[in-house]
Amino acid sequence: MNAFEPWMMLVVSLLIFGIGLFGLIVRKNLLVMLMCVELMLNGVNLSFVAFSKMHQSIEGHLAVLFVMTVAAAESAVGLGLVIALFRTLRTVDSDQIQMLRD
Amino acid sequence: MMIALLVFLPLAGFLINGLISLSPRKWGTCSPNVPGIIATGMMAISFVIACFQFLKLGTMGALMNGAPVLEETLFSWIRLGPFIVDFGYRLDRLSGVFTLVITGVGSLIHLYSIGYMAHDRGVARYFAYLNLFCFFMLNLVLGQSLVHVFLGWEGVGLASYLLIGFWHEDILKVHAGQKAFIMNRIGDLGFLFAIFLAFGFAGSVDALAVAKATPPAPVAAAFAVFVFIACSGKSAQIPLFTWLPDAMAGPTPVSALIHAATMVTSGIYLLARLHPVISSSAGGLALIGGLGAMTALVAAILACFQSDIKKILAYSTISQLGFMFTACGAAEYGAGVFHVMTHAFFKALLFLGAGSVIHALSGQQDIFKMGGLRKELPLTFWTFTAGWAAILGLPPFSGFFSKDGIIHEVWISPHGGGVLAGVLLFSALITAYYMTRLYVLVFFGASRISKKEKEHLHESPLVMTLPLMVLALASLAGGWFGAPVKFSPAGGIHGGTAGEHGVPESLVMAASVLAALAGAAMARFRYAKKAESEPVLDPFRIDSFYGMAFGKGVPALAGWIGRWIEDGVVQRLAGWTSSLVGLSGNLIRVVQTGSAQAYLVMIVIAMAAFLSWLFFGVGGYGKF
Amino acid sequence: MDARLLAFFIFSTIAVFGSLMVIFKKNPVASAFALVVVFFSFAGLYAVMAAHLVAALQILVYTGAIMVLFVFVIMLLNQDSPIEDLKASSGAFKGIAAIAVSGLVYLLIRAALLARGVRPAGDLTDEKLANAGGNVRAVSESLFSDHLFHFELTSFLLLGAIVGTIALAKRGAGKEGAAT
Repeated sequence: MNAFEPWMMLVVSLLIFGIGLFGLIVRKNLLVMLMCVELMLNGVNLSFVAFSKMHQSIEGHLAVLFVMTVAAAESAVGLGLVIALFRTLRTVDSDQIQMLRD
Repeated sequence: MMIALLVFLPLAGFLINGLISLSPRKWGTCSPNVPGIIATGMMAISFVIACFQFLKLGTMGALMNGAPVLEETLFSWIRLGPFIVDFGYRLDRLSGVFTLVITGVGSLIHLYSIGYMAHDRGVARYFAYLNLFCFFMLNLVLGQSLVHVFLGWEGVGLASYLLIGFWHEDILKVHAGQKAFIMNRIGDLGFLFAIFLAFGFAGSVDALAVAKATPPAPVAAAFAVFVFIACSGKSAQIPLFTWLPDAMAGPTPVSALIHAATMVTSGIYLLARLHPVISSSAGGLALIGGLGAMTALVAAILACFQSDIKKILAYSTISQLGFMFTACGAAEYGAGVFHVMTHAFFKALLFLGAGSVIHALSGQQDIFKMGGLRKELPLTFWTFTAGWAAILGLPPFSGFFSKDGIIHEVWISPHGGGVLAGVLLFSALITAYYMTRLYVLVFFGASRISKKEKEHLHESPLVMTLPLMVLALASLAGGWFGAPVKFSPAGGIHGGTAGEHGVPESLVMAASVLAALAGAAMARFRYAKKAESEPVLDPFRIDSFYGMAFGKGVPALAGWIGRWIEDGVVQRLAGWTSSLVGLSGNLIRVVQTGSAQAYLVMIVIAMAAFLSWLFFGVGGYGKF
Repeated sequence: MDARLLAFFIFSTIAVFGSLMVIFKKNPVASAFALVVVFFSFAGLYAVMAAHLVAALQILVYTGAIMVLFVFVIMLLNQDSPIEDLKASSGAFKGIAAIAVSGLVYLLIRAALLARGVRPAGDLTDEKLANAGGNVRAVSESLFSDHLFHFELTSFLLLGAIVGTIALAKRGAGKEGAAT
């Protein structure tokens, strides 16, 4: 390993994606869960740029741009939802939010 | 078209009389008896046409050599690839003889019925059924293909059922009809299997094609067995004969026509029609001959213990059919067919005579309650005597020629032998015994008739005695047809000179006449003086055996199987299935946690599985 | 070992560590700050790959806007104290999840390794990029010509998000009032 290769970046991005996925599965606090989603999205962004470098094109960067936009919009709406939920249920623990269950 | 016409005229009679029977008017009791005239007319015209066709056949080639045939194919009936059945008629010497008997004797019996059924309310229905029977019987003997024959075969079974149970208000008569029909059906199954086999080895179901085929020995044997099962049902041989005595519940002319002269002879027709392929199986012939001889003997013995005049004649028919089957079993089909013809004459005569007696005695059928009728019913007596002499085989009556012919042919045939001939001879002796017993008890001696019956005692009208006289003449003269008519359908004939084949025919003639006289003498000696009523015995108890085995045994077996399989197996399986569904449901329900995170884990697992399949499994990416 | 590789190792270590802290820290605020660290190291990683625009935007958008919003909401909802939610799930569940996720990641990494030495699909080498005016120019030229429609669509998306968020967050007469 003498020089940096794009595939190494892919490994990192997958690790981060996996960590984010695990966090999404095990944590109960809604806010932390949203943060894990951001982690996953970022991992994917990293892989887009890595592929773009690998294939010597610029399209990957554009994809990242769009993903970032969507992520921003999504986190805004998500947090708005959390606030609305908190107003009614006074909690952000997903275990407590079971009104639709059964 | 003439053959088709002669077949369809009785059908027209059936339709017309059927329509008449649906009308509320009582046709029979007014004169003229319109349904009877229509029915008899149809039969008579058919007979005339048949005569002309038969003569035409005779001119087509010397009756001795070759096999002249008149064919009429009406339309193509079934076409299923290689299975082709055309609806058509074939008149050759074999079917010609049968057709003449059916239409001739049939017409006489129709005429007789006009008198016999004169006071019956269901006269139109009766004649409709009788014509229907004749239609089907003609289809049976004239059909080109085995399927057509089977159509007739089934049809006569149906007509027989309808006619046996004609007086359907009496439930016992209905049961008799059912018994006949069901035992017939068992035989029909044999016929069907025979047709299937025939199509297999001959590639066709045309009767002549099947007869000419040469299947391998086991197939031929199986074919012969199936055909014999069919004949056993229809012609009342062992083991399917117990329906015929019960069938006497029908009107006497019906017994004469169906259960003496025609339907029960269908078996002989079938064997004669298929004779080359049947003869190719020595085992099959042995079975037919052996069972035929056994039937002849057993039925003759059983006849000695009956006291109903019609039942005696019924057992006699079974026995005489046994003679015919023994002849076929010895591959002497010509002798069998000749006896069919003469037997039709004298047995119909005997039945009609018995009917005349019953009619005269207002319904009495017990011979121990008759006696001395020869003075009161002279015409009936003399014609009955002719029939009696014929069945005993006394020369010069027809029965002598045909019965003697059978015994002789069976003796000298390579497939027959002395044993079978001996059994037949002994049966002839017993035949003479029980027939003379009947003859003496009915017509001779002191009268044991009740007073009430004596009041109405009268000789039958001309309508009934005319057929008796014609049949008596036929019983006397029919034998002289023997020489040209005694043939086998393949064309060979058997002359009757003595000493040709090792056993002189004159020896057989003498033996059979002696046997007949001996039997007659024994009966006369026994019954001339004492005439107390005898109990009806059933020494072999075959009927009760069938009743136990099938009447009680089969429902019991069905019940046992029902309990064992239905409750034991089926219910348990159903129970297990429902429990299984419930259990698996409970198992799988675990997965539905309702927690989105749990579902996320499942998605991850599924993705991993998919990826591993993609990379390691079928169509993998190789260098992974 | 060249500089880029060294930088890559440093930044990726920080990123992985930081993300582990995001998911394992008990205090949501700590998680949020760990996430900020992760985003910064991501910017560094983008820089290693000479994706200058993306790196800049990463800091501007993610750390500058999104994380600010996160912290804002955390504080608004008084979630700044430690919570024991990681212990709330059963060990078995956590175990299965860990195995499943690591299995998936393993397979994906193996797939990624297939990409070693792959032939490039495009022809935008570093020299060509430099001649074309640099990374930012290349991205913007592509964005505003070939992908103009998609760009316009995102503005709709943002509009929708804004309207939605305002509708959700509003107090007062309407659904909110009835619910509360």
